[in-house]
Amino acid sequence: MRKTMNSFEDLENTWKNQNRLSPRKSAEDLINSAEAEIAGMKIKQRGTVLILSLTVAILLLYLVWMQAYRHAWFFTGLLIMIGMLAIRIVLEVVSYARFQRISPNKSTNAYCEEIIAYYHWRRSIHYIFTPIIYVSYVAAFVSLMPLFKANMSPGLYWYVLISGVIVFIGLALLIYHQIKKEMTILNSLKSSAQEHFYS
Amino acid sequence: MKELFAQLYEQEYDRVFRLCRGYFSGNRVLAEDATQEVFVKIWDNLASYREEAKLTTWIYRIAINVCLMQVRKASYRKELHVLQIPDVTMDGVVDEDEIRLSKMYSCIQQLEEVNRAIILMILEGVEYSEMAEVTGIKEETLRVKIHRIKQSLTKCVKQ
Repeated sequence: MRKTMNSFEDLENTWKNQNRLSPRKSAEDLINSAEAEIAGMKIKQRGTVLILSLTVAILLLYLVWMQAYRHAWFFTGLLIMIGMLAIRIVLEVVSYARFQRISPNKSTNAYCEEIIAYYHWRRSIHYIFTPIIYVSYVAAFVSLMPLFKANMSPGLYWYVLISGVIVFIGLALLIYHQIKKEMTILNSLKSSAQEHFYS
Repeated sequence: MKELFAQLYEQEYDRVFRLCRGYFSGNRVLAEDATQEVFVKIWDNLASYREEAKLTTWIYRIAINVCLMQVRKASYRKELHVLQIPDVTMDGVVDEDEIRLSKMYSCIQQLEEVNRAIILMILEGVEYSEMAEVTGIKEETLRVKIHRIKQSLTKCVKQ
């Protein structure tokens, strides 16, 4: 036992004899970087909500301009698209608020529990809400294509069709990568929590 | 608040850096990045510090929690696979302390994540009661764990 403890004491001494490292940045520079990073994250989150809100606004304007409320199918299709986007906006805002409430100054156990709970919530969004929103939106869009064709110039119609396909494929890939990233984090955290609990 | 932060930054940077380095297998570059991120979080949360715990306890919690999430970033996982080579002196002799330190970091990396935090705090001379507050593990449980972790690390470094 004494031999072991002496060896551990050697490790402690080696650790304490490490060269002291001074920060490369001044405190002032770090504060400025921190403020920029925090602001950047808020802009990124608001940017997502802004893009979705802009799309909702465009669809609403189109609905009113085309007097879509006169045609049941047209109206229903656009309403589904607007509704799905609105649900997505709410989910994004709630997700952001939940994440912001997780404070890194809690004990490790408490922090891990909260982070795991957050990613469980994100999993329910990814596996339940996202497929419903995506499929409903695309289905509504596709169902309105004949009406778009009847009411748009050929050029505009083809633009809407081609850009729609590109956007839907791009979105699907983006969503897939985001889900994969978050589920990797969740599985890793759960595995670590499991190891810790049983060790 | 800026003055308090500047003071903390000067006083605690080195300790936080060593803790982060323990999470990134001794990689200095990743540890410096993580240390910067820790102090960003400290700055972001300093206004909410209500003296519910010692300031060092509060800082350790943030440091460990940040490192726990940083190691999960894909970019960090790729970098961690880079082999750490001990520093070589001008006459080509490898410093023994550096070899032992490199081995220590490698062995610490093999520990489960919360045990990693515990051993890093032990090496920094943190009191058991403070460690319990940082990790959220009861002190009695911690004492048992610490004995096992110390043995495990010593055995690993000797190999």
